[in-house]
Amino acid sequence: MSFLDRRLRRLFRLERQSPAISDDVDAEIAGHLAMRCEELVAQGMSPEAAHAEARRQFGDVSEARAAMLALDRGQIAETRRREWWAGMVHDVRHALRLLRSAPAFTLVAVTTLALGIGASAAIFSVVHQILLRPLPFPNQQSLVRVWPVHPENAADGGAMSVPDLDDWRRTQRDFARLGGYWYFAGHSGVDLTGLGPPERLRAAQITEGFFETLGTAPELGRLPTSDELSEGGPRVAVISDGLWRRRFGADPAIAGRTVVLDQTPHIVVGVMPPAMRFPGDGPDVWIAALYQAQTATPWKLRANRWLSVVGRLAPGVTAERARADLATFQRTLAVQYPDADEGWTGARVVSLRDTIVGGARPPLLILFAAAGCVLLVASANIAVLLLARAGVRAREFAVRAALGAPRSRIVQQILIECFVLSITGAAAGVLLAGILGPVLTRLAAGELAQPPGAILDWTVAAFTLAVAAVSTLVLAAPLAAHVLSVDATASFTDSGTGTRGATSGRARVQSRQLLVVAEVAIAVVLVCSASLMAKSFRRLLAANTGFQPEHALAIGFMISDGRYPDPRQFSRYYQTVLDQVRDIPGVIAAGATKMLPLRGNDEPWGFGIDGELILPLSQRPTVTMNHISSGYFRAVGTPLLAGREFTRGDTIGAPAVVIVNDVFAHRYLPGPVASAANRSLVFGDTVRLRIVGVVQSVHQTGLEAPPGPAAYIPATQNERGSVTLVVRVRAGDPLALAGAVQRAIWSADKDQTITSITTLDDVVRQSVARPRLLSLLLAGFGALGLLLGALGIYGVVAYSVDARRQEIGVRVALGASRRDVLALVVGRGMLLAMSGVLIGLVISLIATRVMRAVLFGIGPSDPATYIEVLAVLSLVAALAAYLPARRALAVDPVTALSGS
Amino acid sequence: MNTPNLDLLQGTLDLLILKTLSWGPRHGYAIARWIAERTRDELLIEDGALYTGLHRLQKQGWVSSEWGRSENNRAAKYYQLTPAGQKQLQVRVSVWERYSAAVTRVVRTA
Repeated sequence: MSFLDRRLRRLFRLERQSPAISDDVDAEIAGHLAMRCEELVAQGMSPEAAHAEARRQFGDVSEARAAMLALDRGQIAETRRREWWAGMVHDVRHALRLLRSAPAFTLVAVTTLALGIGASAAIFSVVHQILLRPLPFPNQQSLVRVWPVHPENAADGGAMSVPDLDDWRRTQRDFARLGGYWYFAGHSGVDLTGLGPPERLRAAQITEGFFETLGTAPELGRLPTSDELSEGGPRVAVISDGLWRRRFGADPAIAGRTVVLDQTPHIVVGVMPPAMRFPGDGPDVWIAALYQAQTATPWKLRANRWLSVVGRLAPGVTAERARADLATFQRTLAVQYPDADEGWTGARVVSLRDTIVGGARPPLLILFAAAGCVLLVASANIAVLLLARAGVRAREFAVRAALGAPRSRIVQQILIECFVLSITGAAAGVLLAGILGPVLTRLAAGELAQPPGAILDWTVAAFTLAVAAVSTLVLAAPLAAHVLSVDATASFTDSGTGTRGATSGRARVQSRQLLVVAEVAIAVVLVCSASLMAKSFRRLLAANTGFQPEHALAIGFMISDGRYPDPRQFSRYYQTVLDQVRDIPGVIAAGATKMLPLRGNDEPWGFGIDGELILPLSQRPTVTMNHISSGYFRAVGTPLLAGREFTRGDTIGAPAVVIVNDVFAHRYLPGPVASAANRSLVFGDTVRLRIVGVVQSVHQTGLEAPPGPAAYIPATQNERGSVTLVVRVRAGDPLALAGAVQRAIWSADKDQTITSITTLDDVVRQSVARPRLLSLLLAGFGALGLLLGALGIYGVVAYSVDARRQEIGVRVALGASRRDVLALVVGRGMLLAMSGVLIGLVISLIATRVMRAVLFGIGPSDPATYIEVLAVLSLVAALAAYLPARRALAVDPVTALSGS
Repeated sequence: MNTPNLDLLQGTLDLLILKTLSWGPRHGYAIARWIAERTRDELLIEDGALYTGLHRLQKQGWVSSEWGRSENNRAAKYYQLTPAGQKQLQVRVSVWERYSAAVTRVVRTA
């Protein structure tokens, strides 16, 4: 039957299937009128009169005709709808029956899809929570963080001074509001006393305009006024919903109550709603930054940049314009206050959302892309399986076509089958996502600006449904294309074994081969990114941290402002705690620091070197200043390179001393390390500290960040309330001694609040939690991709062995050796696999560039990695091709040739 | 037609059609003829209204139709009651009987 022929027939059938309703109605009316005329004429009327009478009795013909047409159309539409539904129900039942009849296929397909869809959905749920969900502030797109920068020194600390902020506020017109805050998760705190057991609260220090900028209203009470947030104002506090419920029993009359924070009464003016978790991990209480004495934080110093600032852009102002204006203004400040602001001639304006979640974006997007790749490989794999089954089902499709099912119906059936598969896979995938989601949320722990929402919500459900729809199309397209390309009648008449069947089979084989090449290519991309990440992670762990994390306990506590007004008292208490802890049996060494390694930098101090040119304050280089105790380096395991550690003699009254790290020594004190000792550093105008030792550099901000110049001073000479004890134990789990250490602290002060108990090992683990999880997940995705790719190769080779039994039989009969047969079959498989691998490697070279942001110590195009991937993939491909190829060896030429 | 024609009550036409078809399939003209004979032309039923009624009943699934040949060999569309139409007829008849009896009682009251 020629193509044209079929077209005509189809065209004709189309006509008959939807008969013109109007013809039908017209014929009916005409028939009626004719019969009426006949009868009237028979009764003796003239034909003309009969015709007029018939029409008169009929009434308004056009009106009746229109009504009949409308009714008939409605009826036909309804019938079609009913038939369509019946067809759908039939197809769904048919699909379910098919899937049940091939349980092995169904299990493999659903599991594969569940993994692909589950991974995508889980990662999407995290992407949605962190990157897409709006912050809990109104009009968040106009919220920005702003700070001045020092382009020459590349100083870009994100903070500014109170006097600079006041000047900005006075002059700028780009912002509707500006507000400052200071909060360091784990450090900023106040002691709540006089109300049951004392508790260390997380406290954010804020300036006027903070809440107004964010636009958050209290759920109870009011916001503090600007007077209340000014220096010397009446002490007020805003508390969190959590604290209000936990410590005040959700007292509706809380506003106006007095609470004692750090031994000072504060009046509670308002309660913030639960969604208000800013800054950081969400403080318990917000208090005025400017209550602080100049001795605690010299905030009146213009050069003291410590305040974080949020701003709300005025309507119509872009971030770039605000930045340009602020930079201009900074230049006038630099001229006006050269001592403090010289060089600080730039500004930065960054969206608040980016400063909060920006760090989580690259790893999340990489994971999202990887999950998408897994889904693609999974879908391609199942599409291959479906195509393989198409051979078996050719008859079924042919019969249906012969029975008059139009091609659209057969395509619909294929779509429904694939959709049933996809949706089942999606359902299982959602379960998987429910398990995987919470694990993933930890990836960005502490970066959520709002309480984590449900892992599975409507957005995620909609996304999963969309993914299922896409995978339906990916699954159905090759099969549908195949069915449409085959002449159904032909494959029916010669049952797929004649020439036409072979042609259709070849087309099918080709599309399967293409799918497998694509599958292998995507798998290669997955494996490449996984192994890059794994290598990067290993290098990260191998970095020389500068301390020994094993067998060490870290216990944090805060000595609150005002508890020991006299520095000598403070120093005595500090020393007593250390002495008590060192007396615990099993403790080898104990020391204290304000900031643990890997937990961030302590305070940046501008310095000069005695005996060299001392620059003005604003132009001095800065060093990270750490406040530590005697014996700290021994406790934390940082080697001393020259000189000595601090001792209990380095206290108030004794000569002021400092220890520097080797980065500092190499950069600023040329000559042998030993010669660094006994030189002096100058801080501020008059402070001179003698260097007594040089230590190895310690990673403070993370394993991936190389240590910068750092210095250490004794906390007993420079009081700091924030203390973390580092206790090195002889052996075993250091946490076993935690109780004893707590008791030792309490023996010195029974009211001392403890903020954290952990081990240095955990500190390291936490600092690499994100790369670890990223590396683990990518490894999982890579392994999955590799497995699916290998299955694809296996399937294609196995199928070709079956399809070419006769050919192999002939070859064997003609004297081909086992080796020849193997080479033939494996060679075909390897050819496919290697084209996939090569394409994949090229794609990887381009695609892995996005990983630059998360890689440490390794480039995205690391040649060794690519060679390894090539080797591994070749091996896997060879194995996947060899296993089914062995069956070719078992072909007996006699049966193969006679079997047909 | 000297006597005034009675206006057809709502739904009455449907009842008449269903009843007419209860004796077997008929085409539209035959139905019109049959109703005219039985009502002795007392009811003025426009043929157009009759056909609209037939198509409406068909859409509701109470009658079905198919083309056939009439007595004098003319193509005509034959209508016939569906099982749902049979039931509908019984319901309509009993409603009509109660309705007309009630009206008659009121009207006969002196």
